[in-house]
Amino acid sequence: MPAGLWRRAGRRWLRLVERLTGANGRDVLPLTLHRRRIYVLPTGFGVALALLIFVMLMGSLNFNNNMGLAFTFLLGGLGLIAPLLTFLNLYRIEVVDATGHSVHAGEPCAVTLRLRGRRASGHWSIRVQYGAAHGMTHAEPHGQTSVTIRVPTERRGPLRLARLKISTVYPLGIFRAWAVLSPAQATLIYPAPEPNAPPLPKGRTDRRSGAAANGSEQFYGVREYQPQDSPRLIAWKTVARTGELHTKQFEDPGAGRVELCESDLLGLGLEQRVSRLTAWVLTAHARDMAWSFQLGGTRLPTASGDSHRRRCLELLATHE
Amino acid sequence: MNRLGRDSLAYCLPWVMAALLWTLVPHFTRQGAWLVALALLVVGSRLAVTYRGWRPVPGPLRLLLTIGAFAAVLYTNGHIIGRGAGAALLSVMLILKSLESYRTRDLYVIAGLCYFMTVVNFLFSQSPPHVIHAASSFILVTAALTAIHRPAERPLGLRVGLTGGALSLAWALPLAVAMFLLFPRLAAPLWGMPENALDGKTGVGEEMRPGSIAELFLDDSPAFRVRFDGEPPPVDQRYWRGPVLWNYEGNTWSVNEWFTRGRRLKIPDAQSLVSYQITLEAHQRRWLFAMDYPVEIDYGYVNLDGSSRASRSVIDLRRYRAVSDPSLGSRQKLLPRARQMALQLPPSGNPRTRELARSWREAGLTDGQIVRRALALFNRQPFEYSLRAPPLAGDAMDDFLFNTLRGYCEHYSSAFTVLMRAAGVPARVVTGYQGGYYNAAADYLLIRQSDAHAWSEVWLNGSGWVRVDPTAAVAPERIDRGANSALEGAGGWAGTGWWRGARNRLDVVNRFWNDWVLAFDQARQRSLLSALGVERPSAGKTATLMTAAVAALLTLMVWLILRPRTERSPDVARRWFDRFSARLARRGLARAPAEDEMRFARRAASALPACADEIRSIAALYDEVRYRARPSAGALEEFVQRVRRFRIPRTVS
Repeated sequence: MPAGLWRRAGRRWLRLVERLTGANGRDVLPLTLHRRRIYVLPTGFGVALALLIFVMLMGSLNFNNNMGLAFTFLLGGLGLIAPLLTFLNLYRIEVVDATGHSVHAGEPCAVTLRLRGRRASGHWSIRVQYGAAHGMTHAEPHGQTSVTIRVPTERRGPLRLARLKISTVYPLGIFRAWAVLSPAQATLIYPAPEPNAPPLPKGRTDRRSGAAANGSEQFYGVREYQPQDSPRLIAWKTVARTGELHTKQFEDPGAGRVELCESDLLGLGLEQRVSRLTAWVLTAHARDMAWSFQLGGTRLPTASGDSHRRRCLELLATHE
Repeated sequence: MNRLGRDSLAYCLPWVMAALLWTLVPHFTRQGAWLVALALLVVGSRLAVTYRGWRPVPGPLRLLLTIGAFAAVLYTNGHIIGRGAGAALLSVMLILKSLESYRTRDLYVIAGLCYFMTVVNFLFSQSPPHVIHAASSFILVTAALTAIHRPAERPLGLRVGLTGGALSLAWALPLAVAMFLLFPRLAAPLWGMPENALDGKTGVGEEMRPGSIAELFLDDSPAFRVRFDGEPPPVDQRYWRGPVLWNYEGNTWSVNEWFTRGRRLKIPDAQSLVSYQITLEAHQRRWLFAMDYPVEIDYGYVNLDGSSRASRSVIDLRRYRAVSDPSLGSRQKLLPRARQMALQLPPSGNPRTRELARSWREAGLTDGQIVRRALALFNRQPFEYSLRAPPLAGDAMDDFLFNTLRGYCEHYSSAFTVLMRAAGVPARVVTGYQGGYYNAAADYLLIRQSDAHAWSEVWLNGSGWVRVDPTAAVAPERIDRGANSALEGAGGWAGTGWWRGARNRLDVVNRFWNDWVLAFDQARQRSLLSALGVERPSAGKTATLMTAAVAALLTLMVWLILRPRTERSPDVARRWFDRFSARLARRGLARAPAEDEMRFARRAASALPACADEIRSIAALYDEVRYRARPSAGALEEFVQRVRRFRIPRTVS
């Protein structure tokens, strides 16, 4: 049978065992690793040592060398209690939480796992692994520690860590003890912005500098006088103070407004709509503009700032 | 580049290298200085790569080093098969592995090999010092394995590592004892070792060349130990018979197979029997030793000429019972073939010796008188008993008897036997041991290799085979008080009398070790099991018993460790502070039920000015550990340490 088939069968078997022993796939943190969650199996080094013990045993038996036998058995005894020692290194570790920073799909998401150890001798060389991402940490006696792993993301939406593996081979490297968690907490992954998105849709009002026609413009600063500037816009108070010519600058707050509507993009597919809207939201936020947002049945009034952006991105991330 | 940047394993390297070197110490003492030099060179260069920024040894140089080391093994051992050479090869491989120790996998290989080399050492010796060294070696290797798995920023400390290793092995010890007692033993080896693959034959052998016994004078290792059933016989009967040498060729006496192959001694009714038990150390030969004259032996058989042999080489400690009759020699018969061989001399050589012997015969002396004449010769002429005998040239016996007049038991017994044969008296050389140290407290006799001896036997009509020890005529104190008393400046470990006496007395530890631990074999296992009520166990039943015992022990251990315990206080810091308060309370400083800990500490500090500083620092640490949001790493440990060490000095009023 090909190796891949064996591995898949083994994994399915392990999953069955886990389900039977109470790991139900949705673990609410904080969670303490107890007996039923921790599994122990020999490592490659453990198997090699077992072979070595066998060779020493055969040799000692053949020559009837009692001290050789005694020490072979001592090594064998060490191999028999090694699972216990390694198990104890993981036992009663409390996984406090697993929080991740929301990022855009395609970027690695930094998930920080906080662990608290209960043993007086500390928990050493705990390895946290999720797929290809892994990190190593240790907990001082009665101490707390955190470890960050960078999980690659592909899709938008809630990122749930299914089968996060916490393992260790400490102290002897002969056995590996591991526990599998699927934290219920999810990190929301925002959609990836469309590369080379078209420019923002034109707003109802344009941006103008110059004549303040409707009185809705706001003074927001001065700049040095350029020869083409209208003399009506010279900031005389600043001239009186500094002796140099300065021009007032106005901005129409309504001019930085834009409406981002999904309904404008109905010709595109869902994902493309989402990613273009993401790109627009990011651009609008980068330019300090205010925007209103419409996605599906949800409509957000015009606003600007970080929280508005986050809300829009969350909607985009979870949009079906 | 960072000095340690080349080596990501620097945090555990000292542990691994120390374990490697310590494990190989017994092999160093056996192989010699070249192995030590190689080890120091290689390990030193590896450490220099880490700590001094050297470049790692390149591939071609490693290959050269490997070939050179193998050649050295071949040169010093003479071959590459066998125990000594095999162990040397493995040692070399382990040492050279440290040149390739830059990945964790390599360190695993080193650790496994260290465990293996520790056990290989037992093929050479199982004495208590070696066992103690092996135990310490195991602890060190286990600690090194733990060090490998520590994070690099928190490497393993010395004390923590050693106690951790010792504790792990202590947990494994009950399992090991159960397996040792109950593992089914083999009655015969699975595969035999070819005779010539075993090296290092020691002790008295099938030949006596000039100097072969002298080599043994310098060897203080025990040859065997004897436990008598009754009173130990007097000193002049403590002759331990080994190979009997009939053939004389050149200057060498050797065994005659006609007497040893399949011919047994016929025992006319034995009188005045002495029975005893001998525990014989491994000497890689088939000869057994028994007191003059052996009647029967329960392990091998007694040959026609009184020597005794086993059916296989004695490659490990062997215990057997024997019965001897000192007067048996006098009731023997001499077969014509034996007489012929007992008179055989080479056709020429040693003319003056032959002339002297013939002159006695022609003077009409009887056999007995000839014997007395020869002994008188040794006694009255200025013969000396000394190890510093000059080498004999040409006609060795002539040179000895008429020229140098100096030698030891080899020379005397050889010369005497040649004289007897030349005079027509059947004679033979007997080699073995004489004397021994009697440990009255433990009631056993210890015979060392340095007690090796050679003497003669002559056939006198009417008296049978009579033992004649010419050494007694020259240096009677050698017989009375043992080998060392007769030899001045014998060298080796002879040393002062005090040291020798102490060593003899301490040998009782060795004997206990041999009898009760090393001699545990299938027979003893059977008796142990029948004492437990299991009769006639088969291998399968014994194995099942062992598995059950190991499983039971493991379950017990798991239960001990993982049983639910009531948490006395989830707060470790508070628990230790309570202990601290209790200690102060014993001195009258009780803490009021609702008293604040800090106030209590201040009160204690003012009441006990002698340890006020310590109390204050403990209080400060407690405050940090318990109440600070983020106590510094190690604060809790330091707090616990300080409370543990806290002692109120007694004031002398």
